[in-house]
Formats: sequence, C-alpha cells, structure tokens
Amino acid sequence: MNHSDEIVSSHRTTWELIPWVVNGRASAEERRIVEQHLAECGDCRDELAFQTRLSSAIGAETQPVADPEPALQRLWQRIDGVEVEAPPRRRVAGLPLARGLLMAVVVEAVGIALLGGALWNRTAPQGGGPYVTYSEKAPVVPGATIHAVLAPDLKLSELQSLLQQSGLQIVGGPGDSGVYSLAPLSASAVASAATTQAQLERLRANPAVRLAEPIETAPRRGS
Amino acid sequence: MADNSRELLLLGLTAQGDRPSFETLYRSYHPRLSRFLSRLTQRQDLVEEVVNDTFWVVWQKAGEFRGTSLVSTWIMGIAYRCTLKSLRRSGSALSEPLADYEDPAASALQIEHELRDWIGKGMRHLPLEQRTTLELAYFLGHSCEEIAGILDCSVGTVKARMFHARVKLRNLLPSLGGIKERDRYEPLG
Repeated sequence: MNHSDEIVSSHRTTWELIPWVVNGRASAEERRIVEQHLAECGDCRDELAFQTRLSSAIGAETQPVADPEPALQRLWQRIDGVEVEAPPRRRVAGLPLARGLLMAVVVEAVGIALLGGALWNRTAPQGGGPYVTYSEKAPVVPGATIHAVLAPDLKLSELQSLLQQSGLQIVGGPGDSGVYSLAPLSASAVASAATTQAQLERLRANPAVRLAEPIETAPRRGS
Repeated sequence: MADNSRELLLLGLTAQGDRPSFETLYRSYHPRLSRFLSRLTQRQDLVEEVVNDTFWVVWQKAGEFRGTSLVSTWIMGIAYRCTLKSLRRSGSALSEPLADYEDPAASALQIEHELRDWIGKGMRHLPLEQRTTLELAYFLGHSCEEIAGILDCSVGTVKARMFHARVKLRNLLPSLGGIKERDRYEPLG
C-alpha cells in the first residue's frame, strides 16, 4: 500500500468511526486512530464538528413526557386480563423452595383458622357477621369489601403499589388480629361482585398477601 | 449501559412474577422510550401503545432472556419490532420519508430551538431505518454493535445506514456544517 492508499484508508476508517467518537462509544484504540488522522485532515475535522452539533441537537430533548403511571395501570389491566385466561407457569415454577414452603405453611395455617372459625361460627350467638375466618372476628368497616392479611415484612412502598394496582385503599385494621379492611379506591366506584372478584384475584396473585377474602354484604342474620 | 447488572436483577425478579421489579424497569424506561418513539414515529398516538406492547412482551418473555446482550439492547430490540408492527397496523409507510422536506430559511439557525426544529425536519426526510440508527446512536448513546443487536442486523448494515444518513443530512443541512449550499458533500473514497 503506497502513501496515497494509506491516506484514503485512514480517511475512510476515520469517517466511519466519527459517530462513535462523538457519542463516546469508540474504543481507546479507535479514538487514537481518529485523533491521529484529524491532525492532518480538514474534511474529517469539519465532519467531526458537524456530527458533534448534530448529536447535541438530537440529544437536546425538551419535549415533556407523559406521566407513566396511567399507562402502567393500563398495562397491568391488560396483563391481568391475559393471566386470568392463562396464568404463566413460571409464576409458580420460579418460586424459591423457601417461599413455596412458607406458602404451604400459610395455607395450612389458614385452613386450621378457617376450620376453627367455622366451629366458632356454629356456636356463635345470632347476629354475627358472615365473614368468619379468624379466631377473632374482624370488624366490618362501612364501605369495606375485602379483608386481607399481609406479610409482616411487606414494605410500605410495596403495600402502596399493591393497593394502587388493585384499586383499593385501607379503611380499617390491622388491629390485634392483623386483618386489614380494604375498600375501592374511588369513592364513586361501585363495588360490584365482579370488581371485588378481580381485586381479590390481584391480591391473591401477590405472595405478600397471605389471605384475601370478600366481605359479604348480605343482611346479617337475625337483623 | 452501566446499569446492566441492576437491570439483570430486575429482569430476573420480573421473570419470577415480581411486580415491583417490573414496575421499576417500566418507570426507568418509560421516559427515554417515549421520547425515542415519539421522535421515531412522529405519532404521539402510537407512543403509549408501543411502550406497553414492548413491556407486555418483557413481562411475558423475561424468563427467556439469556443474558447474551445488554438488557437495554434486548428491550430496545423489542421496542423496535413493536414499532414496526404498530406502524404497519396503522398503515404508516416504513421506508419512505415522513414528510416532504421544506428548505428552511438561513435565519432559522439563529435560535437554538429553531435549529432543533430544522434538524427534526431533516431527520424526518430519512428512511425509518436510517433515522432509527441515528437516534439510537445520538439520542440513546448506543454503540454500533448494540444497534446491530437492537435492529437484528449486521454491524456492516449499521455502518451503511449511518453512512447514508450522514451523507443525506449533510446535504440537507449544509449550514449546520458551516458549508455553502452549493458544496454538496461527497466523502472521500
């Protein structure tokens, strides 16, 4: 390769590398090649200046971006719509053994509590509420549609996220029994059975929710 | 790019159905992805649709990510494919320029936002794949190899697209380079 060919080759290489020097992604060796050629090539210095100005202009973004939260909520609705039809197996298969064992213990404990509650209810005086899951009855708060028991190590931010995703708010609890009373987030929301069922499914899909049960709104016995 | 280990962790937890991790990823990508898609498609009505299409795939396929590329490359690749599908669905042309180029007045360069507007017009004159390559390099700072991964093409193709985009922009925006209209740019060789 003669000197003229070397110049052309160096020019081509440099011209090709300029964008990656401009955006900071060229390697040290590539930068060295470019710097060496720039010292003797006015065209490539012009091109570097042009691409630098172009990059600055493209990178200078002033357009405001929409709040991601409403879009994220719509995505959850879409995902949950799909998962109701076909829950991904990985959600269970991917659980670590320890968490699986913990859930087994929780399920067993809940079963015992349900059995105890049922026996208690059988002998309870007339006028007790229909929701009897625990050894100590959870009070029914006006407007509440769901009773839930949450993992004690659930972080506040996770709780807030869970409630927001589910469209629920805490209106009572946890009290001594550890039972939260949850109500629809919007005051104007109609607590239909379908809505409550969807919220229950969303709560139950979260491993941090140990138990979630609907609060029946039928008239109390004996009233 | 430096956040790849953190994003790997978030993606791994997402694969196990961990919603807070998925939401962290979503919120992290939403601003840059929205801006990128807005510039790429010039269709504000498609931006949320494509962002959510992208992250719907991320939620479904997180368990299939094998770590052979950066998480950002994987997600941007999904976003690009979702963009193409969305543009096809909406009947937008994929390879043609988005609008006729209007030769701007030289005085437009006096003000910075007008300069950006001018460049925006020049960018819209490029075919989608060339525009995407430039945006990925200059707006999102991806390397040549990462762009090849995102666009699912060879490094040589990325270089060729970048080459044509630069030549075309150089000729559309001569004043930006401090050269006169009559001096059309022809790279040596």
